[in-house]
Amino acid sequence: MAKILNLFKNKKQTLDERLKNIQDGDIEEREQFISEYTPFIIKTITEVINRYIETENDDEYSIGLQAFDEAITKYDSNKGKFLSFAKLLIRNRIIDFLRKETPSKSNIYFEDTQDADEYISLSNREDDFTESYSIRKELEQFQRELKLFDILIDDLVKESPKHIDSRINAVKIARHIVENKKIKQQLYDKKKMPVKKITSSIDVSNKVLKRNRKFIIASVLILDGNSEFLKNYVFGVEGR
Amino acid sequence: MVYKGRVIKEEKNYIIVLTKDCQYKKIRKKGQSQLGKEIIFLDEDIINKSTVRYGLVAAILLLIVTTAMFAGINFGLINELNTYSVVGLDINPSIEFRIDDQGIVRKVTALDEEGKDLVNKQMIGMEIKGAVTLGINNAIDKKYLTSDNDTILISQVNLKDSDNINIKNSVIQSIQETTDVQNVNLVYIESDKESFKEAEKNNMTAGKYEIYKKVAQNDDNVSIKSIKDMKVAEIAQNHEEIITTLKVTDFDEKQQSDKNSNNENDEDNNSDKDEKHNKNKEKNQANNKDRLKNNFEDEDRDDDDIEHEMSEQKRNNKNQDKDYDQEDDKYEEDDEDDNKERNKQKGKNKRYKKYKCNVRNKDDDEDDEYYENDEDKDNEDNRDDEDKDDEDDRDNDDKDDEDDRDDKDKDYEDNRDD
Repeated sequence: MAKILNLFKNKKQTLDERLKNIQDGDIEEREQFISEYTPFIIKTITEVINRYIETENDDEYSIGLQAFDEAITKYDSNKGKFLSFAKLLIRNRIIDFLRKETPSKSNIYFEDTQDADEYISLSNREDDFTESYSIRKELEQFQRELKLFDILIDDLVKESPKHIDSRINAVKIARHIVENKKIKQQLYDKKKMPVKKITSSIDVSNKVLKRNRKFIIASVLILDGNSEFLKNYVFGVEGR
Repeated sequence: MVYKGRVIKEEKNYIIVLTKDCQYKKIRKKGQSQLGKEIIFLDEDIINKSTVRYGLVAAILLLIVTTAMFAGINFGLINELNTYSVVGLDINPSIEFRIDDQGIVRKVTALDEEGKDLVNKQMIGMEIKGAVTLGINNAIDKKYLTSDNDTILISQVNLKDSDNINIKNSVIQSIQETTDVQNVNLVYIESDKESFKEAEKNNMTAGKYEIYKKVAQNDDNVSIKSIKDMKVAEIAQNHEEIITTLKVTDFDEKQQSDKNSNNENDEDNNSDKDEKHNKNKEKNQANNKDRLKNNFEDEDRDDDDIEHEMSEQKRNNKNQDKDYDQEDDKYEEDDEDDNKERNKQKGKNKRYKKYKCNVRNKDDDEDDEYYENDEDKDNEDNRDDEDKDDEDDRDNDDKDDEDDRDDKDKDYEDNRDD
């Protein structure tokens, strides 16, 4: 009964009251609060840097989180609303960070060649570039293969199974095709799904195959291809 | 919800991301290219095709609504604004005319199925009296207005004031003059806006509504619909007292008193009209015949003929020129005897001239006369013998013929220029 009341209370708590609790030292509540507001933090960072946050290079994200945390500690309810304060703080911290980062990353001074050499060697840009280049190559390959089956990536957006369970099921079928050489060969040769062979060897209905044809073929191509980073996304569903 | 995903395709306005749980998502593009990068994005970044679709549907709906509104303004409202008066015609069938400040019909509506038989498209743009009589004549043609069903109800509602829409008398007069039916009971009601609005709600004319009001005063059981569906003649029979008070007495009396004289007048008028008509017809026929003739003559001429004639004409002209030169010299040597002969010849030639004058344009006549005279002279000068005059005549005839033809050619060309 007390729990229910507490839940009820929590819901009713205003932002200011919650912040006061956190400021008083409720660490659990603090973590809860931050995870609740991550979309807000991400949104603010994205606005400032004018592109999506990249996970490989998530300094911005951690700086944003730190700034938000700082905002919680520094907040004074008499000086205005919390969210606008937090936004301001995140923005300032990110801008400060970008100012520090940019000279070493993208600006090369040709006036002083020696310095320039230094800058280039200091920056880790080159690795980043080669990696993204290979990824791009792999993506192009993926698109080309899809085109053989007359599939565009845009089609996948529209025709992928929406529900996670049906996606898992579809990936299962894809895995079955990849592991069954005969079926796979037929698929590559005829550019068509050998529906009969699949239904006879695995328990699926024609309807599922037909409806998720494009998604299954794309998954087969990813699983059978040599792009490790794309595979990761399919493995994510398979739970590997 | 926070998503993590790899950018696998970039387009102009969007990027496609493969998320950690193997979903392909289309999201908004932000900043420079991030192809191949794993990014963090939010729900609000996802381009949801359904929202686009709803937006599209909403836009289409808006478009339809606005166009409908404009159409309403164009066809409905402006019509309403221009309507100065509404004239209803009930025989049952019922029709309604909307007229503008000049008494011109702007809109005709049939208030029932039969009413459609009375409506002609040409009514729009007619003066109201013409349109009403046309409607009545249509009713006669279609046997709606017969000796049994002989009551016409005309109602007028002035929505706005204008001097030109006091049409009552002109309408009545025109009905008297131009419709064939005698012994018609004509009821003319001038109603007001309120009644018109009520009537419009019930899809009937203001006149009928006025009658309904009058009938309802005496009889509570009467419904609007029964009155609406009843023929005016039936109402007149059932509720004689009301109709008689509203009847256009002038119309009746006039009709009866003027019956004989009126008929005669009518006949006279008709006969006059007929005569005029016939005359016009004759004229037209004559004109047509002339036209036909010309056409035939024109058509008979081939281009070859024309060329041939042209060359002949040239030759003639050359001869004439030569003759003129000679003639100048010989003029002085002319005797009085020759003059006499010349006069004779002139007399003959005048006939031709007259004939030619009829055909030729006035402008050409003077020049032609000059030529002809010269020709005459030179004929006389060159050939003294009277015996040869006949030949000359023949020559002249030929020339005249040619001239005539030339004239026709000219006419032909003129026609073509026209």
